[in-house]
Amino acid sequence: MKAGKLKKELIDFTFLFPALIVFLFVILVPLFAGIRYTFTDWDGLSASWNFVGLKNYRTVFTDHDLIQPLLNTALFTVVTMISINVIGLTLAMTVNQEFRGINVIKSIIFIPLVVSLVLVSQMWMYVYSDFFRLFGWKSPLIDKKQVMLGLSAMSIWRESGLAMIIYLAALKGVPQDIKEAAIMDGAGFWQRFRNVTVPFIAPAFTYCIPLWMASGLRQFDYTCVATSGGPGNASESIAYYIYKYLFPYSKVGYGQTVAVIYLVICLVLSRVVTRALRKREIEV
Amino acid sequence: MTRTKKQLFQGLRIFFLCIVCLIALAPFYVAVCYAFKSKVEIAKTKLAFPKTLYLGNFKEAVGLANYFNSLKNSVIVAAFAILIVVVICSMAAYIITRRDDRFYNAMYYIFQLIILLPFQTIMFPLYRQLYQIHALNSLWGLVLVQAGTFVGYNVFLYSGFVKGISYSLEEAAKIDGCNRYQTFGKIVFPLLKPIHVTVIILTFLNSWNDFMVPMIICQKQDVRTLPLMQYFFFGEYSSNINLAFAAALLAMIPTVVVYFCAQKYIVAGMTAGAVKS
Repeated sequence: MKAGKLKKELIDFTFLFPALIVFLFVILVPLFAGIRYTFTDWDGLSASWNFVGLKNYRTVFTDHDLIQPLLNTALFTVVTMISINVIGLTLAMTVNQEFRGINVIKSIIFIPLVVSLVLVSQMWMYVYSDFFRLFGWKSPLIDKKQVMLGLSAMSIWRESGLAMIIYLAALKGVPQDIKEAAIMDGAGFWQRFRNVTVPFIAPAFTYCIPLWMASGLRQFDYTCVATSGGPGNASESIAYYIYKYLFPYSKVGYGQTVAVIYLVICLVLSRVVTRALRKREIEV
Repeated sequence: MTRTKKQLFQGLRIFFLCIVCLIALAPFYVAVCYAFKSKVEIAKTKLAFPKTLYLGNFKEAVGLANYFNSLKNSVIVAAFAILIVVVICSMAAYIITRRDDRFYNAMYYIFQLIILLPFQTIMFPLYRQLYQIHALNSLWGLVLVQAGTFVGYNVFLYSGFVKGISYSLEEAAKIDGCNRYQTFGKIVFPLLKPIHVTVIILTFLNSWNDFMVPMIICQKQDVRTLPLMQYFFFGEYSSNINLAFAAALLAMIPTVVVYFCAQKYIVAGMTAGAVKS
């Protein structure tokens, strides 16, 4: 009987096993190996290295070069997170009504999402340089003050369609009779939005806001393809900064330390924000 | 609201949506316009509508960029990533949902953490690990890494679906003498078809458009996937943007075709996490 139970347990475990192995190899082992590197001065190439204790961590907290990427990432995250959600919700409310041609419109708004970030960056480089010139505007990518906004616009252009689709699916779940009752009671547009729509689509907020916060914090591709961090380091994101130290600069100990701290920041931020949103979901 | 007011409102709505559509399409115009003009014509007329459709760029770009090799790489990587993800994620999600005990639930939450993990944190150690097993600059190394990073979201998608499948069919199979493997293979796996389609399409798009992972582990010319080919091609031929955009359009075609054929499933997959059903 006992052997039979063990066999059953083993059979069940074989279902999990392949996914677990891939997860261990690709995620967990590198994660722990990476934490070990943070206590060394390894350059990533040579066979030997020294343990340096917490020196890398001290360097991170006194490194002035880190401030610019930090500010850039924060700006990009805040701008894209707010814009994508506001635009997405606005569009969802605009298309949440059946009329002829609405599906074509929805499809068109959604198209940018299937294009790779590389191509998005490349198309926008020429939108900024050639299309903007028709109106006499300067490309934001060559202006230190505007370059992050230029990159943010690419992301907003690509991803607002997805936000629209998600909010639209949520809006379809708002019961029609409650909406009508609110109209009968004489509630205005804002009152209805605040007291009827928002509570019903709260789960969509809880999903979308952390989603675009996380993708903003990870921004790498636009910087890498469109500007290579320039002009100067005006468009360097944290992810790109880490990449630079790990590969071209061969300062693995330091780069990995930044990466580990960055991981902690990402996890804490998304946990805090998701929690706060969940709590609100229940309150309203 | 009076009728005219309603009509005015509807008119404004359509006008606004048309503007949004124009903004959504404008960058594509730049790409298409330059891809169909010769270098001389671009210099002369810039963004004006192309007078003739010049197809020479496509021919030349295909040769220079080694386009078909990159296409082949992208197809191989996407196909195997899909195969692995479908098999391992459906199995894992099935057992996690059916067992529903402490250990399996803990595994579920650990898998979900992958979604939050920034790739930068594991990038370098992973690179070293692949170097040690001679998997750098190899397509199977890329497949493995992509599959690993996709596990979290797809286990989540499958779990949601398995929860909705009634247990009675499986019990009937059990009484008929099927073991877990047979029950899963013959009963559950075919029932997962709708979610398989969603997972396949999302994995295809993610794998096909992935830039960062191949950028780190597959830089050599003969193992470059399409986004990487495009990236290097733009760098090398920045003075020949007609060729660069022709190559870019060719790289984009498969995703756009998939998009128009399978829009319903893409939308289903991407909204799965947001709406409680």
